[in-house]
Amino acid sequence: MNLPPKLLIVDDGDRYAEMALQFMRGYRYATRCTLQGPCWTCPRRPGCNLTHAHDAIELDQALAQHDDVDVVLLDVAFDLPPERLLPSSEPDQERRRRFEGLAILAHLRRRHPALSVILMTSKEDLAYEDAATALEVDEYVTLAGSDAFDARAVGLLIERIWARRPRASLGDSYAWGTGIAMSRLKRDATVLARTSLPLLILGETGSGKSALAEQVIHPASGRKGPFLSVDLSALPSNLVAAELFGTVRGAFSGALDRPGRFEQAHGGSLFLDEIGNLPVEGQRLLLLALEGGRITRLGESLPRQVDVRVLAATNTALAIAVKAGTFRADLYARLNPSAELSLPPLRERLDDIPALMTHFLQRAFRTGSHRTLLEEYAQAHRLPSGLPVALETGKVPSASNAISFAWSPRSLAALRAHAWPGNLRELDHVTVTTAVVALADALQAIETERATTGNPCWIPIPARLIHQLVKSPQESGGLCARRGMEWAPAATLHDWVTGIEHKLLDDLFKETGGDFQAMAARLLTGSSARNARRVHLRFNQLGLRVRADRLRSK
Amino acid sequence: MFRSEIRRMASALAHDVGKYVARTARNVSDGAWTPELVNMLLRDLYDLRGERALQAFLRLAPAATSPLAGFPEWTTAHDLLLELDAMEPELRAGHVPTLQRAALSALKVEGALQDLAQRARVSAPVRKPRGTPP
Repeated sequence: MNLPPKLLIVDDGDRYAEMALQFMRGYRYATRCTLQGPCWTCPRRPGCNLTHAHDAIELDQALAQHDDVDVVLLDVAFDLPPERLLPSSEPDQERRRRFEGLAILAHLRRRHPALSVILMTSKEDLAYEDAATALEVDEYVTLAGSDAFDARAVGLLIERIWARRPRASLGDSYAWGTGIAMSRLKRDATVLARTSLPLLILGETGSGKSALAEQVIHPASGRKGPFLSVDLSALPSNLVAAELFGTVRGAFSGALDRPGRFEQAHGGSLFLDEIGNLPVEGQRLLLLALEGGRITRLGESLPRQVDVRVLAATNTALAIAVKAGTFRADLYARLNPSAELSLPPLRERLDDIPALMTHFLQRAFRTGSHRTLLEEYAQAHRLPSGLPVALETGKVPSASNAISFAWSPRSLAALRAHAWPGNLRELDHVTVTTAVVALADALQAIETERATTGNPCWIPIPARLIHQLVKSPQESGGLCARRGMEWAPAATLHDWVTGIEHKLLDDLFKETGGDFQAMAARLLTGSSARNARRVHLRFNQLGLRVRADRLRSK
Repeated sequence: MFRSEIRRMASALAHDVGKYVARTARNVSDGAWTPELVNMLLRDLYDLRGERALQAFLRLAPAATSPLAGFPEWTTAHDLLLELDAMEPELRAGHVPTLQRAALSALKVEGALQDLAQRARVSAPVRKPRGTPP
């Protein structure tokens, strides 16, 4: 359903709230009241002061209550006692009161950088040239001008902001977390997305560069064409040109008429991952494509015009590569390094871990085999179908409108202490793996009638599982060695754990002659057919297949 | 007085009086004067942050001392506010033609004060600080 924008009014008096309630009823309003429905139908409205925020403290309260505010209508002069104004070094109290709205705006910018604000005044009214100039460059501030009390004019401003909004809000599927650094990045990304220049995204492996390009920048760019991604580190150097620019029949033996990725991405965005690994010849060809917007297929003499927004990503410092002579300086300059987006590694945004885990859990249990397992659990406990999942960090929740996976404070501390070399990807895998294992364990507890937490909506995550998963590979390797298994280090812990699981199940499969019932008896307590089905499901999830020889033997 | 101070005074007048006095007048249409709207208009004119619009105007730009008082826009706004002040009994009685007239006058006050702010920006006299050589 397409809901109208939600507005929050911040005014020391009631003038804007009155105007809105009288003349702008087509919008939703964030109030400090807990009652549902619009204020104008409320019998308690006369004399009610919960209709809007009167100062910065009430603004924070209202925003804590409503995380879906679209536009803030902010007055500038606040005729309030000094203790209700934001702290300031300005000695002139009258001046403080007159410009309190600007102090509140700065306060908002620190906490909610990408929240759109209509400052209910005009540049002329303010007579503070420096501040007005600063406001002009703020992408998310609109001055209402002399029409600040004209409901139709303000409505038009809101509509204009709202029209920009759907593109920006597509980034909601991205794991932003709640930190200030990521809020700033979100704001920069949605702003830079609207330009047509190439964009460079920096970040360690697994920090979310590809997802940022696909889920945020491409949708916010407004480009109608497709989003295509090429991992340049995976391309042999002699195939880079053919892959990116295409070929014509006879260009080399076996060459066919085939468009390259640039042509395929016409009208859209081309994401070049690991651009730091592009061979020198590929760098030259890419530079030509970026300079003229024209590409030439291999074996062809005439260039073709393409309209492609290039998004490049790397986990290496390109500036250093330029100095070392392994990356062309002119190509680096073409990639617009002045506007690069830098994704922080997970170890620098540890406060985001709970929010990120919630995001990964919700995504993992939305559809697919994990959802099936969850539904099976819900059915076993006679819970309603389609319950969402949530993250709990301690106490047993009283509400039963979600199935909560509960991480103990000790487990969360272990996550915070981990170095996260695999960044978000690793956290995603740890979160989902532990949740799936705990869910399977909880399902099993129902069958074996083992004691549970008593609340079926609360599934505790065993601390030992977390500690096993976030152990260093060397430490875990020792365990494997004690079990007589030889194991090579993997790129991420999840890969490593999955590898062990893969090997164990494969060995068991061989040992039992492909009998899932027997495998289940070795792995799980009890011996129901459901256990066998569960093992078979995991077997398939890991990409293992029942061999033809077993089928033949049957 | 410095030009910047005069500009600031004119801006304050446009903001604190002009903007608020025309709040309801700007939005009301086709004489649809509900009791709520009448109440809003009355507050715009006679309860502007605890004082009457005319009082706020004279506080910010007193006739005797304000450098703005010499400008024709100041006189226009002042006369209109005096008229609006006199209309109070009829407005409180909900007399629709007077309400319409008051709304129009309120818009004119706003326009005059915006013009005054504009004039102050481009042509405010510059008085040099004491001790500055001629």
